[in-house]
Amino acid sequence: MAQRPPMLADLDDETYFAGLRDVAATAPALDYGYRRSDILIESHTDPTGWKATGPARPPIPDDRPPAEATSGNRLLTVLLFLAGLATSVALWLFDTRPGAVHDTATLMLAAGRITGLAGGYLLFVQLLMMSRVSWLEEWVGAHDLLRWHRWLGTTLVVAVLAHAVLILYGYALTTGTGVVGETWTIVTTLPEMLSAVAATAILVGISLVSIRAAKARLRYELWHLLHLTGYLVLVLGYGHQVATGADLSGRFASVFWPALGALVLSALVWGRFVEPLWLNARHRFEVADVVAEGPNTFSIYIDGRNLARLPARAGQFLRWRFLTRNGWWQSHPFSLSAAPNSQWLRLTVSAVGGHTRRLATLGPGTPVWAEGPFGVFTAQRRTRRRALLIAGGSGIAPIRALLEDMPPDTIVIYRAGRPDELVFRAELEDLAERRDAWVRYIVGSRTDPGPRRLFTPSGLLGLVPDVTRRDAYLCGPTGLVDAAVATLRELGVPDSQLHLDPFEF
Amino acid sequence: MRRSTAAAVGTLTGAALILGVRLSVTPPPAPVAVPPVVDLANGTTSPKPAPARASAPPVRVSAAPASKTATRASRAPRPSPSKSGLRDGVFKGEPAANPYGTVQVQLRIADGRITAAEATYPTTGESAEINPPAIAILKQETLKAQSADVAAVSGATYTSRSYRESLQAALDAAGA
Repeated sequence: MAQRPPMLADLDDETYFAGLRDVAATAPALDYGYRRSDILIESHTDPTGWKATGPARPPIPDDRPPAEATSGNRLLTVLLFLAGLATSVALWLFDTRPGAVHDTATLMLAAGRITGLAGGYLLFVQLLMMSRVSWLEEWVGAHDLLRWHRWLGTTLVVAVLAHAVLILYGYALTTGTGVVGETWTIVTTLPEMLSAVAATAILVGISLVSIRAAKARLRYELWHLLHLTGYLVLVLGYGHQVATGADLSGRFASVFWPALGALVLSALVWGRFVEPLWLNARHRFEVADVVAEGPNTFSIYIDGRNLARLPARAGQFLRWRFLTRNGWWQSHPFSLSAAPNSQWLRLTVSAVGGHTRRLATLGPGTPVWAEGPFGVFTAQRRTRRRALLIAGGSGIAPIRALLEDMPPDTIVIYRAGRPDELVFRAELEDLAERRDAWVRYIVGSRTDPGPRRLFTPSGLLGLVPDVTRRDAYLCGPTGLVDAAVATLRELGVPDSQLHLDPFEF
Repeated sequence: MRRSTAAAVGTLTGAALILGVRLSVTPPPAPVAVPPVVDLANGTTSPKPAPARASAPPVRVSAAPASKTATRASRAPRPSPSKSGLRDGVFKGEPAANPYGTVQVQLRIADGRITAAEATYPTTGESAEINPPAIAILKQETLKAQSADVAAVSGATYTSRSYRESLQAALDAAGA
């Protein structure tokens, strides 16, 4: 920017004063046309109740944490989930007379029925969580939905397999025949059992493919396609639930179970078809420009109609499909790298593979299909007055957007390997000046002393002394985020003040 | 919503759902479906010979323990089988088990014809609603068919199958 100012002693008066004028001309305009000190009088029109006697003054910034209005949403979701699970098990409980479970066979049958009810309920919930409906996004957020979906997936498979084994053994003990013979009898004579067997096989297949080791070897789109067969599990398994489910034939169950199914189906249709169709019909996104930001990073500017009415906030992401001949079948979850405005949307992409590299060659006017917006990585979820933003690598995109929404005195820590990998430097610094924030770059490889010190308690505390009183927003590669979370927890930052953005899907 | 609202709404919803399940369950029916009071052999109540492995609280009227050790076939002495090949008397078939319990059929044969058929069957859970009418139909069909070729009652697959097994066993005991 400015050249090194000449030494004062070398200057004559004229040069000195001319230089001062130059500096004044190029200095950032800090004067916004208001005074910082003024006589205030009562106002009946201003929302704050006060007005200044001098020139107009800026609104008093309200930096109170806004998250109280939404803090109960996750709790409600968890409670509703538990309520549904308890109801499902209650269907068995109130259908079974005391004394009915008195020996091994009846015990196995009872356990088989309970696991069957629990498994059926969990299957509904799994599909509901992945339906991408906006109300679930509002309540829980994409990151937690994904975490819960993964965790519940294991439980679901265990419950379904336990159900099958226990029921078959239970009936075999009851009739005194062998397990294999009883299995054959059940599968061939009871209604809808063949489709139930098929559903179980598909479920086991999905779970095997989703083990991290296996998933890493598959291309993401192929894995996703295989995972979509989960819908078949619901369709094929539902028949045997209502046809042979011993506890699903009561009056309550005959309303409750189909109601659950209807809820899940309608959520799926709404979230996967109706909402995306509506979003794209309203906005008609297309690529406006592609701009380089750094050695491996570029920004895509997206244009559209009615962008002012897009319900997106800084920090959220959308799933983008660039409708080119080669790329239409891929869906990319990219965060907005600038707060949404009425002119354009911006994504910032790091070219790490063939697919992302090809995005740099997008031409203006390419139509784009978007789904979303998703994520609760927003300023609306703040719980404290101050914030700390930590970004690593391409995680700078949502962090850069969030900085536009953050209260004063926000601290941004940007971790990168080399100085030329730091993107948005000018924008970050400009925002820091205007919004009274601090931007700290920590540059170097993971083994350099600076970066190593960053994620130690004393190192982080040195940068952010009041870290326990700040909301921490973290976005970056998994290793960096895990190290940061561990350090923050060690420093005593409660989990309610940690906000994470999912980097992997 | 605030946490307190969420906690209240969630808990109330859960309580309402569970209460709904409880209220919709009808209390267990009084033991209407007591197994037949008549033992065709000696006119007294007969206990169920082999306790069903999966059936619940014993509501059987139990008396005459001597009948427990009754042999599979107790016959009144009649010298010659009639032309259908069946001996006269009262015959009990082997109990036939199915996932819901055990069914055992008793036949009275006079003049080589089946004149009465009785059965013991499980009466717990849904069996209390399904079995009594099904068994009644099966008994009528037995008298009509005069053999084990009795059609199954729809909605009572297991009961029908076990009934036929036990009926066939009783006919075998009668020498058919």
